[in-house]
Amino acid sequence: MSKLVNQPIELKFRGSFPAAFHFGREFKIKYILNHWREGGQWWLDEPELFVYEVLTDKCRCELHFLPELEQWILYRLTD
Amino acid sequence: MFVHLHVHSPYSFLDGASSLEALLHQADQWEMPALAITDHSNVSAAVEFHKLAQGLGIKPIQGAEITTEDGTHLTLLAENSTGYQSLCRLITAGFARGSRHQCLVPWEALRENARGLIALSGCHHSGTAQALLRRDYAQAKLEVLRLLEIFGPGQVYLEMIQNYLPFSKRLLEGIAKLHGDLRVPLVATNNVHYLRKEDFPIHDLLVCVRTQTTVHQLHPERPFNGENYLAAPEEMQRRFAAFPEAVENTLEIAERCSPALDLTENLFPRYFPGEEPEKASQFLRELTWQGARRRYGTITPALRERIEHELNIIQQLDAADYFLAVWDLVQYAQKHGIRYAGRGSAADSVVVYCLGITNVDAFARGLLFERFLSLERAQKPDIDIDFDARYRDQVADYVYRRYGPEKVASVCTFHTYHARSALRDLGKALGCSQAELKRLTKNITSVPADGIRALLHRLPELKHHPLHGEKYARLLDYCAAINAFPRQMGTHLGGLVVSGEPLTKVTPLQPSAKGVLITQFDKNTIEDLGLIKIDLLSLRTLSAVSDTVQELGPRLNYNEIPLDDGATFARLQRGDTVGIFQLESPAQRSLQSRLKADRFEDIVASVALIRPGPIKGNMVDPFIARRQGKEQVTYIHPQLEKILAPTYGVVLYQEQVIEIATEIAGFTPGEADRLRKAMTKFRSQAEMEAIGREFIQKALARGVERQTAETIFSYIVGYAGYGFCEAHAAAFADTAYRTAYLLEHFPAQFYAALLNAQPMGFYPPNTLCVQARSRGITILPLHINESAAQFTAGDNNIRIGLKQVAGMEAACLESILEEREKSKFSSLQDFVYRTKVKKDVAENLILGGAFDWFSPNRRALLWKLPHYYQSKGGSLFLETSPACSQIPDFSPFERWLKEYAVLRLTAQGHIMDFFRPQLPKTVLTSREVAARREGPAQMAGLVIRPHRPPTRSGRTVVFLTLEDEYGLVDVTVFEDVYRKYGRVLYSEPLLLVTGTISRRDEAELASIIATGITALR
Repeated sequence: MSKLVNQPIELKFRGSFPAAFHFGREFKIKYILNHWREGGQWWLDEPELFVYEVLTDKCRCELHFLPELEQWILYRLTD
Repeated sequence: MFVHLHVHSPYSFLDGASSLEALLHQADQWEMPALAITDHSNVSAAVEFHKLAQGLGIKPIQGAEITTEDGTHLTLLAENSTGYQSLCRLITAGFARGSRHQCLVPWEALRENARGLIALSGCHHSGTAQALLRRDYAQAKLEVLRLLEIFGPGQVYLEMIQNYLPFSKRLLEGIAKLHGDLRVPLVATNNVHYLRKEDFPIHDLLVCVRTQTTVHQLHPERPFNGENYLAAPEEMQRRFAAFPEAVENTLEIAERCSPALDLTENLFPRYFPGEEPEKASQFLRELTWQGARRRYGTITPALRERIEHELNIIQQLDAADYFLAVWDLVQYAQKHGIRYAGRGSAADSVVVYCLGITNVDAFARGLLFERFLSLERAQKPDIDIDFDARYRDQVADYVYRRYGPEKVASVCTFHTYHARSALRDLGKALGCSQAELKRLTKNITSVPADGIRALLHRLPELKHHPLHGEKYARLLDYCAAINAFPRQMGTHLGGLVVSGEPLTKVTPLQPSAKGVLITQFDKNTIEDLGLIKIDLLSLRTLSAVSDTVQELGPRLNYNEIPLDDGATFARLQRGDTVGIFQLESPAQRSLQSRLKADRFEDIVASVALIRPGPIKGNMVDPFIARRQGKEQVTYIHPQLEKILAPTYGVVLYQEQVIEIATEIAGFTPGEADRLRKAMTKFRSQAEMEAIGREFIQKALARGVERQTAETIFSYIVGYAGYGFCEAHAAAFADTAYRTAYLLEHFPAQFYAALLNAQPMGFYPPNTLCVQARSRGITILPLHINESAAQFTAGDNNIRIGLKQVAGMEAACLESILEEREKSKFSSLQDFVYRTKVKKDVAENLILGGAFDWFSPNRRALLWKLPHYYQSKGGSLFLETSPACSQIPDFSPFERWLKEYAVLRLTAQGHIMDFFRPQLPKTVLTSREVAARREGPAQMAGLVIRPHRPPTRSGRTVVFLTLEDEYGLVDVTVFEDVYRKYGRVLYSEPLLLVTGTISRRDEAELASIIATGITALR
């Protein structure tokens, strides 16, 4: 099951790697499964998007980072 | 340090978004020791890249990203010239296996042509990456093993690209595993498609153009993100921190590669293969002297010296084979009765004249051979020949047969982005509708894609153009960014290269739309590779001449046309030159009426005078005044007299610039020609000043006074930038005079031939018909039983041909002619029943007047037509259509318009016939304007070719011709009037022009200086 969240979060880092974030409760990141960058709809001035697929101590999460806004977003949770 | 080994330039055609200069400039800033260019299936950038990189001290590594026959990509780098040749053969094989649009390299070809190549396993479209993405590790391993088998150990690298795609991590892990298992070295690349991250939208847009999508549509080939830029070495090191070997290996590969191009070779075929080059020189010598005896009869010592001089230079430049090859093909043309005429600077050569290639006597004219060929310049010879347009391909075929298909190819051209094409393509990619694109490109003239904003502010008709809107600001930026990028490859109109060795030694070959093989280098770069281009050009004027000569038979010996025919010169003096090669434009007609040419030299000067340079340089008026003795001819240095006397003290020809530099400053002819060339290219002010200093210093050393030397140099600067080659002018003048003679003495035949050779010349066919009528020639209407396929000339008439009818295809025409051969058509119905002509063409035939002979009511015939088609092959009772005698015909005006629409001309009358009765008497006819000396005038007519040539003042002036039922009058629209009426000028077919009659002198044709313009409706 997957749930679309799309809410801003604060991400903690260990060195240059994402380590944990709080969303109701603490999610500890155990492993970065994948990460990629999306160009976005540049013609609509949409900013570039960095995507991290991580495995936390609770579930699989998709985190988005908007570099222009310097904002992390918890985009999706997957069981 | 790091070297980018997988880089696409704009020659990847809509997949590379930064110029070679920009990429190399950045590499230079980072002090990269080398750079590779790996365009898709071509090496078109190779020469330009080689030269630019060498200039910056960067090692150029030639390469290509090829697509194999199974659709997978592979990055290949040429380690040396052997590798480059392998690459050329592979790409050629790929196009042979694939199609014109798709190069699919067979694996077998890779096995046979792997020498000298380094293979990088490729991007995510590679066989290895595709297998890894399918999680088929075993297959990925097999793919790498296949590369090892083909290229050998040490020649294969596993390509790692970290461009942050959703699958990049998996791919990199898989490649690292292959590296561990197979011990194949790694190499890091960034599959570069543009210089900076912010250039990503340009790349995305170009891909949209290539895939025919808009930004709103998905396509698998559209880039996912903006990571394929020329990343800095530090960034690449950061990205591949876990694989330092991958970064280090880029340097190792760069170290192994050497520049693969040799730009010093001469690949032109030997005329006598396997023999010493002297044999060709000797044969050329024999042919030249034979020709000299034929052309001149007596060989004077001066002539002997001149020919020897030329032959010695040709021999020293090892160019005898080239001259013989060109001689050989004109021999072919002569034997097959194909009309030709050599042109260009080759006409500066007496040898070329003796060989029968040109018809310009360079010795008698005192033309300077060094303008064509010189030891100092050591440039390759370039001979251009015009052929009767219909037989140019036949001559080209002969060249293919003569040298072998693998050694001959057409030269390619690159269609590059200009304002209109950039707006159209990028606008479409951004989602603009067709109607919007039409609005956006309306009235945008042929300017560079980065000059649209300037144009919008310059032209009055663009004052309210939608592109001024903020909405399109970015579109204009994007257009500017792709200015001059090659969009696609085409075929050069005339250029053929001939090689002594298979062409794939230096260039891949690929099929063109026409079916012939083309090189991947254009005329600007092909010669750097050791190939010499022969220009076989099509000239429709020669087709018209051939037709006229054939039609006249024994009544005319074209080669013996007297060069002093009074009637012909009288025609020129009246400016009555519509239809004459090179002398028919409004500016030429005006010049002719003032110049009063009475000798061949005047025509040579005319051809050179009406060019942007002499006009801008205000040379025309002084030339005319001096030619007519109204202004004194003076020379500021006695040595100039012998050089400039033929042009009355005016520097008109490029040859004169060379001679001045030689005589006054003591330049060698080669040095002087370098000076001419340097100035022709409009170098920077600093460079011009440097050349000037050299000229003046040398002149001073020869005893010329400083002020005189400076004044002479100012002449050269003033004229050399746009001076015309005298030899070329003389070659054109020869054809110009002869066509003038034909027009004067055989107008019906020559006008008919001109009409058959359309499209050509300055004027549309209807204007030629108006002109013919003004000579008393009857234009006979289209006639289904009398018209031939083409226009045919009678004693004093011209019959319109069936081919002129819109939509008339070869099969239709054949069907009509075949049936008519059996028996003439007796009615429209008979015509429909017996031929295979499509209904829409039959309609056009009716509207064109082809059936007026059966029934003059064209509308009634149109009404009957569907019934005939319905009953075709059916009922024996043929006349099944209802009676139509009550159907009124079109009005005369409608008839005229419809006839014009299907024929682009009309047999009778002029559109002004319909408007004239409504116009007040104050509106003059062209005949009345011509008869007036000065004063106010109003004239109405059909607008012919409004154009904005460069002017002396640099201001915009529009010239157009108004055509009415009696003839032509030229109109000049100055900038202030143009700003006011520009919109009407370019959108209305009929205009009423108010203004004043202008003549610079008594003799000049009257023209109108417009003060007001309105549409005539």
